[in-house]
Amino acid sequence: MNRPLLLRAMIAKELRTTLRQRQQIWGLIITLLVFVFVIGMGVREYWQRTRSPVASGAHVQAAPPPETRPAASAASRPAVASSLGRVPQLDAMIIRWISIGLGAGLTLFLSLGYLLAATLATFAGEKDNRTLEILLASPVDDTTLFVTKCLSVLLPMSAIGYLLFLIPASVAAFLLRSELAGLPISIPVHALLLSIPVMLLVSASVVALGAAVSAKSQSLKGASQVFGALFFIVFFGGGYGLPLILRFTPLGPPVRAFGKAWLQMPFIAQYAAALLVLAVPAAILTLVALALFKRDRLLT
Amino acid sequence: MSDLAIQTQGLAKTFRSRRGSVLAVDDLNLTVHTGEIFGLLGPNGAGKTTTIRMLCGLIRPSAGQAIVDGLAVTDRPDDVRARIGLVPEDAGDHGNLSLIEELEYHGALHSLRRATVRQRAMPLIERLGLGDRASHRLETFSKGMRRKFHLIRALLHQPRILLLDEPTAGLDPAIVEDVWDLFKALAQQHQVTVILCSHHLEEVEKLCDRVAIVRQRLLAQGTVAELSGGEGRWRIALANDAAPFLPLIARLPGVHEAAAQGALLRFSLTSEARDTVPPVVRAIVENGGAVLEVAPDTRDLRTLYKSVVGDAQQPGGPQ
Repeated sequence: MNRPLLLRAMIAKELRTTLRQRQQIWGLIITLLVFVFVIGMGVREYWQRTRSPVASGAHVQAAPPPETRPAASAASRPAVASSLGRVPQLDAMIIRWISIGLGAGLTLFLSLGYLLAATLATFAGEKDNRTLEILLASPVDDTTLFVTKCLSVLLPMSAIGYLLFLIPASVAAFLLRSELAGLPISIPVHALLLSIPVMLLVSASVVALGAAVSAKSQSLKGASQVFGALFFIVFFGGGYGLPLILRFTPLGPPVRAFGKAWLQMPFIAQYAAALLVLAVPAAILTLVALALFKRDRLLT
Repeated sequence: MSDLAIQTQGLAKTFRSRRGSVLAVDDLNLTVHTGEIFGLLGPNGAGKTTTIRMLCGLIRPSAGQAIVDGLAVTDRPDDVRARIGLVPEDAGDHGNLSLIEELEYHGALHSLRRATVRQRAMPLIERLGLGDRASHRLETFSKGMRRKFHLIRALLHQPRILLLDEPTAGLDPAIVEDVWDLFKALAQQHQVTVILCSHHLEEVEKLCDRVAIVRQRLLAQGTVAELSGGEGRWRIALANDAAPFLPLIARLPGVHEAAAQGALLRFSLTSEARDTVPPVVRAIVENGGAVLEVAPDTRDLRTLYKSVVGDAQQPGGPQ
C-alpha cells in the first residue's frame, strides 16, 4: 500500500470537496475580510497614536519585543501606559504562552467549522454519498484507512484555519510589535508559529473523536447530533469534572506536583511538556477510535 | 492456480438487532469458474447484495466461508479486495470532483499513480463515450453517464473478479450492448470472472455462462440451458389424457422425472439415454396414444425464474 500517495489523494479530495462549495468559499472570504478589518483597525489606531500621541490623548511608551527583554526582571521593568490605563509590564514567558494560546485557540475557533464538517463526514458523509461501499471495498487495511482519513481532514482544515489566522496575525504582530488592542502586549511571531503543533494536537483529539462517531453513525445528521452531545459532555463536563477528579482521586497530588515543577521549567521544557500532555489524550482517543472502528460492521 | 474463481461453502449471514434477527443468507454453496460470466438471480431481499458484500469482505459471514481467487476472504480480506472490482447497485460518487479527479482518487486507493490512472482510464472513457466529459464534474452527469463512470472506476485497477449489481440499470439501450461486449471481452480475452446480479433477465440470458437462483439459500445453479430443461428434457403432447401412459414410460430405461399434466407428458432422459425419445413415442403409440407433438421441454429464463422462485415461496419450500 502506497500510504503517501493515498494521503495526498485524500487531502486533495477533501480540499476540492470543501473549497468547491460556494457557501464554504463565501465563509472563508467573509472570515478573512473581518479578520483583516479588525487587525487593520488595530494597526491604524496604533500608528495614529505612536505618530501623534498628543492627538490621541494617551501617552504610549512602546515596550521592546519580549525576545529582547530579560525574562526574570519583570519587577524592574517600567510600567507601560496604554489607552486602557496603566498596565504592569507582563512577563515574557506569560506573553509567550498567551500568544501560543491565542494562536492555537483562535486558529481552532476559525477552522472548527471546517474541521467538524469534514470530520463528521469522514464515514457518515461517505454513507450519505453512497461512496462508503466503494471506499471499504478498496485494499487499504483498517488502520491505514482510519488514520489516513483522519489526517486528510486534520491537515488541510488546520491549514485553512492558519491561513485565516496566522498570516494576518503575524503581519499585525510584526507591525504592532509592542502593543495589541491598546494593551502593552507584543505578540512574538515565533510564539504564533509555536502554536501550530499545539493546535494540531488539540484538533487531533477532536478529529479522532469525531471520526469514531462518524464511523458508528448511520448518517451525517446522526453523527452531528451524537458529536454535539459528546462535545458538550467532554468540554463542559471536563471543566467541572476535572477539578473534582484532581481533588478527590489519587491523580490530584501527582498532577499538582507536575504543575509546580512545570512553572519552574525553562520555556523550551515547558513547551515540550505541554505538547506531551496534549499528545496523551490525542493518542488515547486515536487508539480508542481505532479499536472501535470495525470495517465489517460499517455497512450493517 | 485453481480453476475456481469463487467458491462458497455453507455461507450464511444473520443480521441481529434488538428487534430480532434476520436471516439474509443461509447455507449458500456457489462455485464460479475463472473467466466465467455468472448470473446471480433472486427476488428483492433474497440476499444477493449481502452475498456480494461477504465476497468482498465488507460483511463478516455468520457461518461458512468464501474462497475468492484461492484466498479465504476472512483470512486475507485486503488481498481479496485488491482482486475485486465492485459496482454496487446504489453506487455513488463525489459530485464536486471531475471524472478524472475521482478516478485518480480511486486509483490511489489501489496504489495507482496519476499517470497510470490516466493511461488505463482514457481508453475506457473513450469506449463508453465519455471522452468529452473527462474534466467535467460528476454532479453534471446524467444517471446513465454516472453508471458508465462506475463501471470505469471498477475496471481501473484491472481486477480479476468483477462484482456487478445491476450494472446496466439506467443505461441508454444503445450503449447497453457495448457494455455487454465489454464484459464478454473481459471474460474471454482477459479471463476476468464476472458475477452479474440483475433483474434484467434478457441480459442474464444473453451474457451468462451459468446462473444461480437464490432466495436466502441456493435454489438452482447451472447453465441457462440446463436449468431451462433444454438438455434432456422433453414433452409429448397427446390428443387424450396422458396419465395412463405415465407408468408405461417411467419403466423405460433412461427415463426419469416423468410427469403427466392433462394431455401433456413431461420427462427427462439421462445423459446416456439421449436416443430414447423414439422408443418412448413408439411405446405410447403402440398402446393407443395419439401423439400430436414431440418437443424439447424448454422454458425461457423468465418462466424458469418464476417457477423456481414461486416454488420456494410455497409452504414447505426454502425460505
